[in-house]
Amino acid sequence: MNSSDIEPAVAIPKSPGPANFDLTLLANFVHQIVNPLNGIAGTLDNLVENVIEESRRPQRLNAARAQVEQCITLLRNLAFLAQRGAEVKSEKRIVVLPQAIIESAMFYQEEGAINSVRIQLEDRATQNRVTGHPELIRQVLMNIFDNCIKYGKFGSLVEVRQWIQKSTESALITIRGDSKNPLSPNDMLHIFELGFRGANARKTVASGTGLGLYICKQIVESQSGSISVQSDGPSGILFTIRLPNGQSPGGFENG
Amino acid sequence: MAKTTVPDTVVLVDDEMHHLTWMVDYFYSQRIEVIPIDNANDAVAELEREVYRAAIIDLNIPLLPPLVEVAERLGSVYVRYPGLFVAKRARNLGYRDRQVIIYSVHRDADVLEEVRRLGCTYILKGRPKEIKQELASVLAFDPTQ
Repeated sequence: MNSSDIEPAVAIPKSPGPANFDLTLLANFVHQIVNPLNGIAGTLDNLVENVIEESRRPQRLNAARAQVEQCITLLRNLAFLAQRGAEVKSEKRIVVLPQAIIESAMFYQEEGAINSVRIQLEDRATQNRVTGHPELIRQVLMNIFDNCIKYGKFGSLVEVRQWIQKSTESALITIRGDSKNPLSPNDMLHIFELGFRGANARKTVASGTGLGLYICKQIVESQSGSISVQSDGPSGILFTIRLPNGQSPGGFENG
Repeated sequence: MAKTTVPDTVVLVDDEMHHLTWMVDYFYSQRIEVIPIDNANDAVAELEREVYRAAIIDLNIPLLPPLVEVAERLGSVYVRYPGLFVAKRARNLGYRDRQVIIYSVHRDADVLEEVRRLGCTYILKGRPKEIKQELASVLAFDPTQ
């Protein structure tokens, strides 16, 4: 298709209409969802046309599955925003932390491989638990992993730790990554605000919704927990999630 | 119009390259090498080095100083969509019209107007068949003949 085949863009109504922020969010959201969908469609087209050699097909299918999961995560973020957290009223269940972390990280293997950023859980064996909403906890982890992979320094490691703090009976999860372009101290103050994207993020990937970390904070606080961020070394960024009612397998502190 | 100096290689400019692995697979199946680039500054530097078979350029990519000021002088649409800036530079470097393909999620009237002026191709993301057909046409033309 040449430029002459393109339909003219529809003019955005000035007034009355949605607030500018809503329109910007919507435009960014469309961008964020069309890109992975385009990737999935391209991969499927290649498979149908036998473009991909047989040995690479499982890897390409895994990548397409991760792109589907990315779309679902984006839609869930939007749904959470639209429902203003109504989902948290659903029934709580036992969440095994290492399992939730591993399940959340697996969808970022392909993107991580391209950026040469790897997620590593330090203690996979200790089956610490919290009572909460598995889907929401995974959503929090996936949003943070998405940030760490997307904006991570080439060849870096995203280190994840999980333990139970005996004194508070809280489950703690820390996620530490290194940014390709470090976050400024001023931007760090705004990182959990709705629609906010740091200058460092815009230098790495031009478009984004600024939804993910805002949703993380909303979800964690809806579970009576807390989330914080701090710098850790010249390019390091450290997220700390604290969730109440943590249970260690032996009933003792392991962190 | 400049001579294509590296006919077996294309430049692919996108800041979310993992979503374009399928296109890289397609090019490999056509025995074409791919240079992946994730920002406007590096793309301009690469296009200045050689004339490749084609440049496929996303509109929304990071643009960093000192090129921000250069783009500002061209107009706000070039700052809003730095891929357009790369496309214009490619045309000025002698890339032929169909050697420059803008491949984007965005449908924007201002972009369309500039694309018509530059005389390059503008294809929306979402239906890979469309760009595959265009790429097949571009690859069918031997720039060394």
